[in-house]
Amino acid sequence: MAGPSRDRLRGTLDILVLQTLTAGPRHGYAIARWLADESDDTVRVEEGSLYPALYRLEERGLVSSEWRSTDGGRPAKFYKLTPQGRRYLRTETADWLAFSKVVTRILQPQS
Amino acid sequence: MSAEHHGSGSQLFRPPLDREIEKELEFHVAMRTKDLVARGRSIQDARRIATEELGDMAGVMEQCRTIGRRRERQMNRSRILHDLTQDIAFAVRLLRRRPMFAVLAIFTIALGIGAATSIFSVVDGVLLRALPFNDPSRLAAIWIAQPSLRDDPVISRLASRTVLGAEEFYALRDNATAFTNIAIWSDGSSMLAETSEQVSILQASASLLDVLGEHVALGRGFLADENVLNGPKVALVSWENWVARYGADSSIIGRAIAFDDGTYTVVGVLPRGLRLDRTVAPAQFWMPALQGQYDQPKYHNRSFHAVGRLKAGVSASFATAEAARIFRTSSGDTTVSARVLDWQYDQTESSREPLYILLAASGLLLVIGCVNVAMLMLGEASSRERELAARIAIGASRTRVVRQLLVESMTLAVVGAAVGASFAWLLTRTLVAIAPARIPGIDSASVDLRALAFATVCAMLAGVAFGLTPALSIVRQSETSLLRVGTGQSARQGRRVQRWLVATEIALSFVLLVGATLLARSLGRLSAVDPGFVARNVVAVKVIEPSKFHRDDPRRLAYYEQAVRQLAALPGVDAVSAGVNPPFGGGSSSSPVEVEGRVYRTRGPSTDQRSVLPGYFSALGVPLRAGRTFTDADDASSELVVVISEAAAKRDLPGEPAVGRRVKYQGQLRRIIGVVGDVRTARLTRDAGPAIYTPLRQYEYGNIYFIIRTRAGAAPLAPSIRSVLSGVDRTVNVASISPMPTLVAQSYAEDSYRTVIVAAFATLAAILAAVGLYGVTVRSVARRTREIGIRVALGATPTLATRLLMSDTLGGVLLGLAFGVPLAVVAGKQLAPYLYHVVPGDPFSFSVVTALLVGVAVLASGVPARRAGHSNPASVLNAE
Repeated sequence: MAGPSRDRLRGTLDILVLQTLTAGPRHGYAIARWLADESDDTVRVEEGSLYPALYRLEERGLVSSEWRSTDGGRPAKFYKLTPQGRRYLRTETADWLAFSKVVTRILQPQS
Repeated sequence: MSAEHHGSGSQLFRPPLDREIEKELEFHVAMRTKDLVARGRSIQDARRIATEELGDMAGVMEQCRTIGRRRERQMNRSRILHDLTQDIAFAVRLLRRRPMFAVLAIFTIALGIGAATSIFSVVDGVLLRALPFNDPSRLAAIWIAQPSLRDDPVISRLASRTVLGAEEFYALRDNATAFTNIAIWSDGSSMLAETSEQVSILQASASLLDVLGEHVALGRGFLADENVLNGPKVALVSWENWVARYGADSSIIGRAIAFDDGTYTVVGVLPRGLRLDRTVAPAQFWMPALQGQYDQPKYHNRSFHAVGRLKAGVSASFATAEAARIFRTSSGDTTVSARVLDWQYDQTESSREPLYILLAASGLLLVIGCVNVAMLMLGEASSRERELAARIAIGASRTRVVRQLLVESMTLAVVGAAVGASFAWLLTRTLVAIAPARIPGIDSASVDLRALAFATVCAMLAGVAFGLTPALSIVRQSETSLLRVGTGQSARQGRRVQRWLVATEIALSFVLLVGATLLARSLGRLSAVDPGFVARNVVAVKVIEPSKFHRDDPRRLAYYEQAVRQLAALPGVDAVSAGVNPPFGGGSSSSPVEVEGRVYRTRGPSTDQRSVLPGYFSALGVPLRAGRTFTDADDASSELVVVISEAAAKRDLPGEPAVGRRVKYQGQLRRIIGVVGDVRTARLTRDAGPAIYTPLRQYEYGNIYFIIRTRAGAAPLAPSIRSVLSGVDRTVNVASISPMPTLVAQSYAEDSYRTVIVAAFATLAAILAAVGLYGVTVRSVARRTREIGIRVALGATPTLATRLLMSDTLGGVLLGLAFGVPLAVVAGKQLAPYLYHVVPGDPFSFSVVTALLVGVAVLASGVPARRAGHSNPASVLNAE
């Protein structure tokens, strides 16, 4: 796959991950499950690549993390949207929707 | 969604980065396995699938680690910056709450830094910075030495530094092996024919530029065959003159410029900023040396400075020995020797030690400043022990407290250094501005950044070291004892350190003050020396003669005689005369004098000589001791006469009446008609040498000055003096109109300079000491308030309480004096060469300074102590 497309894919993964966090803090496994469930396994990201994505988002200040114990008692690393991440998600979502609308219109001209 | 997808409870400890990634992935695998088992897979299967789903585990971990590390570094940086800003803001807030302390500390730091930096900058500019020539360390000054003259009262300065004549130059050039090349030059002045404007010239051998390693900026330099009798009249123009006078026009090459002794063709422009004598502006024109008749070897005229470039590996002492051999051979005089020494050292030899004295003084001031800062910081920090202890007790980390103190000291030091830097800049400019003109290279001095950095580091170290002492002692203590600090051992320790600091400050201030007092007393005695004439209201006027006034041209003398008559008619003028080389005019010459009928082994003793017009002695205020002085009747047609000084009479005709005797002088017998008082001519510290005076009408030579005794000083008369003189002859320019007292004062300008600077430093040291002692006493009063309250309550009198409070500080002062006295004796010995009629151990100076410092100490510690001693015991006891 050519470079720009990979960037777009990565950008898409970023938005999806951020979107999973709008409902509240989650750990990495929960995010991976949610992505699989919500997309009916269409977005089957290689699960390993989720973690570097999370670290990058944290580095950019879009999410923050802390260790808490799960309801089951195990300690897990929970990710949370930062205000900055929330703003980022808003603009990126709008961009994505506008983009996909155009692509959809082009692909289905007579609908 | 399983319950484990949600967090609960409080935040947990975050594991280190490497561990964190592992644990995060382990958690993922464990959770997935659990989900798969719930869907019916066997544990082994579930685990394998979970791991496979994750993909390249090692790669993922590596990526996460890289990103995580990068992020950690960023966070550390911003946290440090954030903490630092916070600490600084806090420090500034604390300092603003104690403005007195802050201002004193900053002032003290700035003073020490500024003084030390500026003096070092001057020393660097004059002594340390290499001369601006190619490979300057191999340039050596060459002098003829005449050791036999060392004790001569008139010409002893020639013993180690006699300039060269053409014959020595040729002999060296042809025979010396020590040098790659040798050059000579002499300074002079000439006049532009067109404008009658005086210009400075330098007569140089063709080799001069080569020896210096310089090249002309334009055209060519001199050629060796131009340095010959009646050689081609060619000239070089200085870069500065070329720019200012000729607009940097390159068509200058080949242009003919008319000087009053002939027309010269410009062949080149000198490189920019080229200066041989760093005490004067560059000569405007260079002409070839050795073209004049009197420059030829057979006249034995010695008038050239010489510089040579030593061959690599040749020492100055080898060159000296070789040059001495060559000089002896060429002159046939076995008593002559040579002196070859580093050129820069040669130029700065007489300024060297005095500058080091100033450097030492500024160093003392810097140390005193550091001690003062240390004292202030120590006092400040120890009085805050409780505050610090409280902060630790309520949870501030010890490192954080120590860092806070460190930041506080650094903030002070940085602000102090900034103020000190501006102070250094100001002081350097002042030092350069008020410097006597004779210190070579001082005008190139500028604030030296290395010195500034060094002084700043000293002040910082002092501040930080002593600011931290109490903090460290707190850190060492156990938590339980923390709240009880300020009364126990650390306080006693602090007091002991404090006492030594006081002692150091007093001892060093004592040294500085004694030095300043010695110098000031010496200067006082020096300026009170009677020079043998009455300088007040006397003006010396120097003129530049046109070349038509060749010696023995009747027009020359006629000009001076007519000018004297017209100047005498000016209102406000009491008496006018003229003479060669007046006292403190900068010039002098001497010749042998032999008493008639006496036999001398080689020739008569050297005697200062002056040729004067009638009225010279009364205009200058030199007393007549016997006989008469010159009149208009003593002219070329009458008997040759001389007047001698008392010292000459005492040397040549002791116990006999001198008047009426005859001496052989300048090849002719002349009758002594009078004896006048001795006149000091170059330095007030040097006793007047024997002198002989002749009437200008009978013997004419040298530079003639007008001597005018006025009623009200020089300034109001200067314009009318100029207009009278230009009325007599328009082609004679007035070079200078100098009040005689100014000329005399210039002769000890270095002494004044030195004294003013050391005195200023000493005054500052005394102020710092007073401030320091006051601060220390205030502190010790504050600490012992409770104790004193109890003592007074138990019946101690206020006086006793006051004395008790002062005793801490005064103990340190006495200790300081005990060390200061011997130190000052040592320092005084270093000053000895610069003291005139004051001994280094001058009891008066030592007692005055002791009294002064004790007075300052009593005052500075007495005021706060007395206030505390007289306060109401009840309020004191309630204070805590």
